[in-house]
Amino acid sequence: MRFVLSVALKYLLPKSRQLSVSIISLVSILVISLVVWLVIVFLSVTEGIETNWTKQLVSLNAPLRMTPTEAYYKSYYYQIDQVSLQSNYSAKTIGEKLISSEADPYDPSFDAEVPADFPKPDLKADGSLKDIVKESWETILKCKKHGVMEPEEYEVSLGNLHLSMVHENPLSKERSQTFLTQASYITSFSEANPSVKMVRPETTEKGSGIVIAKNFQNNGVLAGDAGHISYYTQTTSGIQEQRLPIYVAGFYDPGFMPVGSKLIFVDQMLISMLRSNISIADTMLGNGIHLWTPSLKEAVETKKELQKALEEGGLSKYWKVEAFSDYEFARPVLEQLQSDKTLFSLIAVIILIVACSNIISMLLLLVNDKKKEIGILQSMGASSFRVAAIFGTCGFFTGLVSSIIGIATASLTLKHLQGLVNFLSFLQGHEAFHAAFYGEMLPNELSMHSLTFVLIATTLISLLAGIVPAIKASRIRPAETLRSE
Amino acid sequence: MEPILQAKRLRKIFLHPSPVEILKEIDIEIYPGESTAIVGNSGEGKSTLLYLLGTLEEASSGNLYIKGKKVTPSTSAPLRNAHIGFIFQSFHLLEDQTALQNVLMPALIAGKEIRKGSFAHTRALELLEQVGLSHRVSFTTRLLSGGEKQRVAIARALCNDPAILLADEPSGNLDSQTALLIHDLLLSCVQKLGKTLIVVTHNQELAALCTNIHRLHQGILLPERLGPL
Repeated sequence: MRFVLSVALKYLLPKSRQLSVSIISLVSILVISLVVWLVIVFLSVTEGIETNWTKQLVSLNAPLRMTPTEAYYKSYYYQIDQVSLQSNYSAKTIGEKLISSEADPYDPSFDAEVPADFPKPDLKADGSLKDIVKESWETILKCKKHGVMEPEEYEVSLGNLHLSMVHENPLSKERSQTFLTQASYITSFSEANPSVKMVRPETTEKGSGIVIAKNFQNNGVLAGDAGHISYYTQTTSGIQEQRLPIYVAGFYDPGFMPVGSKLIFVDQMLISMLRSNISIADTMLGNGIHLWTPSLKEAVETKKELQKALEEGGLSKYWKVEAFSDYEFARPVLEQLQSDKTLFSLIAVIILIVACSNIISMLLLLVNDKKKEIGILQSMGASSFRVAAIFGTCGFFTGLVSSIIGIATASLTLKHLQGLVNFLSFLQGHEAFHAAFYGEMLPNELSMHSLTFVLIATTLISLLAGIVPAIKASRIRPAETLRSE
Repeated sequence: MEPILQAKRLRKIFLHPSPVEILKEIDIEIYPGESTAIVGNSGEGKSTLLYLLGTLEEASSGNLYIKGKKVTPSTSAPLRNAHIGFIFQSFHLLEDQTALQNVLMPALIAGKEIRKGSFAHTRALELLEQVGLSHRVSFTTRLLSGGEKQRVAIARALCNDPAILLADEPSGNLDSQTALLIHDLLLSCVQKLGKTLIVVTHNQELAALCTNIHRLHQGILLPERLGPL
């Protein structure tokens, strides 16, 4: 091996006596480095953008989500609350099920007889009713192999937001009043969401504090503006509008979620009031469990593990487990991003192959140049295989050196990316990358994926490029070469 | 005594441009410590025979044994590295490397340690001293004279302490005085170091100094003189 390395390195070092080989070799290294640089910078920025977009896309949702299936809603466990006095003849949310003392509140001595077609209870081995929510919750808590996983019940309801904005012009001291109304999705504060980081607002004389999307600020909404959330409820005298007083306690970044700006975070108490007055069917559309994992990456792994654990506990039919990439609003965007990345990776491989093809020309020239030396080495006992290995190593080293140069320059570029962006913006006369899509700054972290991809692809292609010259070199007949001198 | 090198019915046919049988069933046995000269007219195939005996060329048919081991395509390179040292008419040195690096190359191919102070390094310096080139150790061989180049080649051939030295017109490119010096060096390898020498030469004086003389004529190797005069 030392012999192969020593000769290969000697051949690769530029020399004035082998000027043409040296020039082609330097050009090859330059071209491959350039491609490596381009691929790493592009993939790193793309991956950074993808990460940011994914984070924004799912910023209001946990990376993992469990929602009850139809089987759950049709189960005896869920339906029985509606015929039981102990449950006030109303279905329970997941949170209520979790804190209820009895899995089966039905008491035949007080409650009316259940209809004949009522669902059959899912019983445990000891004959008691399987407590789906509590058992599932325990399963979640046990399933923490991939880091801390925080389960949190979520509810989404519907309501109309009305805001009255009475503002005073600081210069003219004139007061003006405007109104804003919007049909909204209403959900409870999430304490476990690390990306939103909400501070639960206090309830004041103005009402409950709510957090709305920052887009409202563009319409002149300020923190402290008050109003109400209204909903309609059926009473004996007809449909009546109910109003719950609120005030704007803060704003959140809705990210790219389609309903983001229509989502209002409110106190759990307010959600309960809404739910108790709106028909069950509407309310239950938005009840489930958010599972907060430390990062998005762990969500996919944890999902598989959780599904397996639920399967083992006989609970899988009651839950639909989804990772962020499965969310109906996120999937098309994420799939598109993945397709773009795959496409560029393929293009990158093709460009690398074209760039590395220079290595073939360079090494073939080197083989011709070193024919006599190869014969001499063979006369001293170097086998054809080792001669071939010399040129294979030359190809490998050319690729490796080019990769290292490309990676180093890519790191430098990423470090000073903002400068480059500013320069591009200056050349174009307008912003090169719009902040609405790419954020205030382009992501400039070196992507380990792209680094691994480029290193493997370049060295592999270079090694392959060395094969043809290596075969040619190994076929040199020393007797012919040495005799011809 | 077992022959150190044995050829049995070796044939060589060159197919291009038209088939020519250059060597016809060569049988030869070389014993350790012998010096053998192969003489003949130009174009008779002396160098081809030497390359066949040195495993640099593959025979069209027949067998070759080095120290009793049959030479096959897979064993030829290691056998060559361990047991054979070549000396060529055109020296065939690595021109960009120093005399010392050239001498060390067979050791590097053999996978030996060649760093300063290692056995191979010390031996290479000793060999260069023995051929009278201790003052040219770090000279690039391109800069050396013909005689010096051939002495480096002899030192290189001896690096792995091979039992057999094969020389192809070793003094063909040298003036008569330098040629005598090279002849002395080669024969001293036989006499002092116990090496086996096979030399292809037109030089009658050198051939006369060898133990055996074989003449190659029309593809047939005939012994002209066996044993000392």
